[in-house]
Amino acid sequence: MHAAFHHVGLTEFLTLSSILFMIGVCGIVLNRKNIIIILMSIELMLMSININMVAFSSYLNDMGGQIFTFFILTIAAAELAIGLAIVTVFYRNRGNIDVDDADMMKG
Amino acid sequence: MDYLLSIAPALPELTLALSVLTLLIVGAVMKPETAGVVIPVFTRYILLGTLIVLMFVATSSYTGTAFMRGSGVPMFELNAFSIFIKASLLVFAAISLVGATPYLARHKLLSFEYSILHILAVLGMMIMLSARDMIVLYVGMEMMSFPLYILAAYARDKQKSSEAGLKYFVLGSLASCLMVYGMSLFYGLAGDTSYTALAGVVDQFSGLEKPSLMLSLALVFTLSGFIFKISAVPFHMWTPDVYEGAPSTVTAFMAVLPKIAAIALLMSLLNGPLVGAFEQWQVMFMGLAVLTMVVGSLAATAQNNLKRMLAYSSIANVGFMLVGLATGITFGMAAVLAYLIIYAVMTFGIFAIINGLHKRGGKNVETFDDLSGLGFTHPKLAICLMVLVFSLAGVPPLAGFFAKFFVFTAAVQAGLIPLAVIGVLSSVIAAYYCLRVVKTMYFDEPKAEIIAPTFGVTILVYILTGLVLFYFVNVDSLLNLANKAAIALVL
Repeated sequence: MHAAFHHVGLTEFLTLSSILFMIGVCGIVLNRKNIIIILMSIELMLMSININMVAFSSYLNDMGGQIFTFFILTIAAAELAIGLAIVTVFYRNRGNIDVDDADMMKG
Repeated sequence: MDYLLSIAPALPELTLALSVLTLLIVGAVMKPETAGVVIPVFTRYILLGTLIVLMFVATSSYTGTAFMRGSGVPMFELNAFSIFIKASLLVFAAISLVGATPYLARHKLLSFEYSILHILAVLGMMIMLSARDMIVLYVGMEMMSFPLYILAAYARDKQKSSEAGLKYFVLGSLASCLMVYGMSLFYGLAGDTSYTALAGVVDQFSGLEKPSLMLSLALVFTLSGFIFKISAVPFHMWTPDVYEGAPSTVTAFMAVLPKIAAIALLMSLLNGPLVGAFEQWQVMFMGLAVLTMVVGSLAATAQNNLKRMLAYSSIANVGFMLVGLATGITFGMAAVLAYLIIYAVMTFGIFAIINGLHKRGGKNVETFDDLSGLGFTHPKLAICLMVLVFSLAGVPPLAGFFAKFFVFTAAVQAGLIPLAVIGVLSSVIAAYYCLRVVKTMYFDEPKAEIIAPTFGVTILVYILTGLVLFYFVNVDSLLNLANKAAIALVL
């Protein structure tokens, strides 16, 4: 396993995953246009966590992280299914999926 | 046989899970109209059955750990603390279903999936509370959240409901991503996903002068996920919107059960694997408690919509519970548990009244205006609502007063006197919006015609009000139970 990472160490993987995670967070917080982009950002965040898990798992020679990854993948799929269903319902009621339009309730 | 005995602590969860799956099939083959009426009834029996199984396991010698991993580390544990919380979750889930049925029927939402989603969420909460491994914790927490996302958007032809579901989904997913990110860092530090390994790494770092950056990040990321679930202040923005948009019975459910579960989980984590970082998290939770109490109470005074007002009120109540949590002493934990139960009874009582009352044509009672003159049109219910709301404000000798009294006593015992003072001041602010409800009911002229709730809901309201009103007769009973649970927690 370690031979494959000869030039790329744990730090590089952690940096990559934290950058991806931050892109995901920014995609949710700064995005003012489309709800689909939010769904993509959530997926990106979960996948960056998976990179973290697998990198640690390989570094520590422990299977636990890879098992965790499978659970995260499964849950991500379920989460996206629910998210898409809710977006569909929202679209039927409103006729669009703009983030700025989700402002019926204030106060 | 040995294997069966070894998984006995998980018997309540297994019962619930198998029953849910069976019900799902039964509901799918039945006619939709019959299923909508029959399945909710079954669901109540299942909750009752699970409670009996739980009590049976609790009184037998089969409590303790289950699902050992190869290394002999358990993934699941049933102890006095989780028995207390699980039993109350099952009871309150049944109460919320009783209160929900007439409301759902009125809004033509009475399909069988509603009650199934209800108990699926309860199942997730139960798994999450017994977890002794981060993977189990994560799966349990998501199993709790997913049904709630769907339930928030349950009135799918209503714009507000779908918007509430969307907001809850996006922010809830963000929070769980933060939580798992923290968990991945913990995994990297500990080299294992079990609580035992987690406790080891946290202890190891608490001895050092300066905690490592990665540990602090892991702690902050993980805790912020939980703080979102209990809607404490920096992460509370979703609460009023979701509470207002979701169908009112779902709001009642969300205001109570996930809160009990998430706060109990936070208690078991902070007193279990994270106890080594006590200094770090105590400061954090003291700040959160102050912010949550003050912001929740102040914002609640400015609301015109009853559900938004109750949302901010629930935020303020979480703040009071965090005061008890921040003390870190056993009595503080017992006080939080007692507070949770009393809060649940009050909240269900208030929601049962508000969801039960309706205008001609089935429209909901939503704003303060709709309650005007209730003291003349429905005197009995108005008295109940007055008692419940006074209890929410903490007027002695009602139950809500004792809940706050326990928490503040614990804070004084732990030497956190400023926290107790701020708490008392914010409950004075809270008294304002509570009195406003009473003023509207008794001093304003009736506006729209309000129709009384069904017989069953009325009885439920009387029972819950009675509990709040006569709690002072036997204050120690609840406190003793809570104390036993808290001792198991701090061990």
